[in-house]
Amino acid sequence: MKRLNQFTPNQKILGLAFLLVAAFAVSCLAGRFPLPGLQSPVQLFSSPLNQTILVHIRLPRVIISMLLGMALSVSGLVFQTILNNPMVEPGFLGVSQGAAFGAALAIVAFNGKSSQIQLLAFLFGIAGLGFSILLANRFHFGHWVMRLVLAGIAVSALFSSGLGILKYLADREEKLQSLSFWLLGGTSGVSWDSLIPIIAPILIAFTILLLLRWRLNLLSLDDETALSISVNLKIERLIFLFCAVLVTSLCISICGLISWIGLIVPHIARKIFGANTHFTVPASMLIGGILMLICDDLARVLFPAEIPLGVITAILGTILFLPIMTNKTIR
Amino acid sequence: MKIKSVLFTLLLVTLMLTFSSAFAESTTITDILGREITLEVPPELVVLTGKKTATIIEAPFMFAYGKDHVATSWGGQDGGKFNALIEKTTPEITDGSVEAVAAMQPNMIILKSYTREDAGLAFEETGIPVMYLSFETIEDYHTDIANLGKAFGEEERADEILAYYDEIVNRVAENSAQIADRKKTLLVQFSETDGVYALKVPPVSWLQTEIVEMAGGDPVWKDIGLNANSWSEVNFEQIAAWDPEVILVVNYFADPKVSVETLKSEPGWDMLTAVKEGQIYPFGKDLLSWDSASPRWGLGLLWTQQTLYPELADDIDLDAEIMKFYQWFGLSDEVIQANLIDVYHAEPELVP
Repeated sequence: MKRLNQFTPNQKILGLAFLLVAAFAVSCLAGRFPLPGLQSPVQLFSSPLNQTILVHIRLPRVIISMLLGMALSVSGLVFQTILNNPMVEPGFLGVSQGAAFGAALAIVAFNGKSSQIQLLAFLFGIAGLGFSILLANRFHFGHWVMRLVLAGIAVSALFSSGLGILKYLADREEKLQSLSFWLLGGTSGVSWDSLIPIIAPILIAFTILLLLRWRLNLLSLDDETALSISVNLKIERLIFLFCAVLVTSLCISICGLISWIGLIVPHIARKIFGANTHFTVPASMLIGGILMLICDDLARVLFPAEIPLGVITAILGTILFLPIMTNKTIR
Repeated sequence: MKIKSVLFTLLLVTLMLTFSSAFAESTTITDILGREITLEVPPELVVLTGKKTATIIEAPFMFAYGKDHVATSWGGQDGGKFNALIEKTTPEITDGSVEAVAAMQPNMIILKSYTREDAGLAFEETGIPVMYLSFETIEDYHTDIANLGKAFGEEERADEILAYYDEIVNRVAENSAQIADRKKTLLVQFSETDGVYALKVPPVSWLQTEIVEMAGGDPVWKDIGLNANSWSEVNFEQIAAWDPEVILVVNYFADPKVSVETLKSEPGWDMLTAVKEGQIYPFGKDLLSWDSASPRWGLGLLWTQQTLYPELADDIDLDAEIMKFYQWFGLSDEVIQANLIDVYHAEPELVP
């Protein structure tokens, strides 16, 4: 860690960006064809089948994995900063549970059309946030953040019970299988067709978050201090929350539920860069992208059978999370 | 006179009770889990219920007894279409909970073997004899069919059913003995949700692997230690790395003929050896697929060998085999032809 402190924050960001590019390149080389492991760049173009696998099979997966990791991580940072709570993740405020409920509703009620799954997952993710904010405004005690946290817990519980009912109603053989697969999460079904429509909104949301990242520092202050330096709390919080929920819901809508990354990556970023969101926002995105690329590489290359991505992120997340949380120097 | 008639009635009742208990023979059966159950044979009502019943739900109806005494739910991968073809007098079970089943007062409950921990123990608590069936391997078939025959008082019928399967196995084994180079074969399940599909291979210990091996194929997924309890998803890269000579595509919930066409149109598939040489096939299916551990596995075995090695299996008349198999369920030739043989041969868009 001492060595890391010798670098300026900008140098560290550049280093992470380089690592992300390297992870992206390695992911393009990693696969099970023709043999499990890494191919040489020359091999990638050695036959039409190699080229097809690179362009149509690996590339969409690598891109969505990177975006997914970036989205979950930056969303986690936004939630943790705004809510002043280091234990929250994008699943907070009913977003993940709302998205899961929406997807399950599409599978059980509308016979599992993928476009409907994506749309309802996205809409119910947004609805989760909307319900939480509405409910928080109805509470008549405590400050806004505490009300929002309580409302998020209530809305999550509501969607969880709805999800439980849908799982109970699902056809034992077919729909429950689709539901379980979706809830475990993964990128194996991602193609250019499902990826292209979500790239633009995700990049726009990322750009907004990056441009406004320094304002996030102010939103982490208590209400009185923040208002004394003329911050429009409600609107700015809503902008950040909307962008975070947007990128999370869009990614969840095609990849299913992926846990842990959104919780642990902001902690890693704070460990390296301190609490300044000017650096932790890009750092979270870069670290999240790198971690998710590694997780997806393991999921698709380690064994002949795909390992559900959610399982890998949970294992890796736990391995990283425990030492971080037991380390006294964590900020 | 009054006393005489009372005494005569008492004597008659005693005689009836004696004779009836003499006819209701008690038997002990060791089920597939090695549990001993004792019941009166034949039981008046048997309820087949619980989870994961797809492979066990049909076999009881291969016995004459099943049609009037075995009650089940009628769902399944075909939405109960095949079940509806069987003429039976027992009602459909809509509530398979422990309390509802206990209220029916059956003499025996049948459950799937690997659901004992999750559900079976609760049914056992009712005190009603519970028999577990597996039907996951050919060896299991011998135990389970024999147990059903014993429980239903139709042991001869059980022997005939087992002889039917043994004849198929022997016939296929004779053909397979002539094969020098086994074809690299991939059996893959195609499960789709509107354009987004997953491809999965079966565990090595399951019947699908056994079928491909017995038919003379070399299952490419065999030596890689996949999940022993469920289908495992594989991606296109892995399939390309295997590059099988023959690909058999299973689809339980839709037409596998359509699945084959979908796969052939996907990027890269036209470069696989099996596709280039026209060796990608929809697995045999009428209303239900023949690869699974349902009673149709005999048809699946014959179909697989004929598909892999048509030159060795030209004596197999599949239409006749379909007719023969479904007669075990008491279906008429007309019903079999219209609802099963015609569906097997149907063009993709005609398959219900």
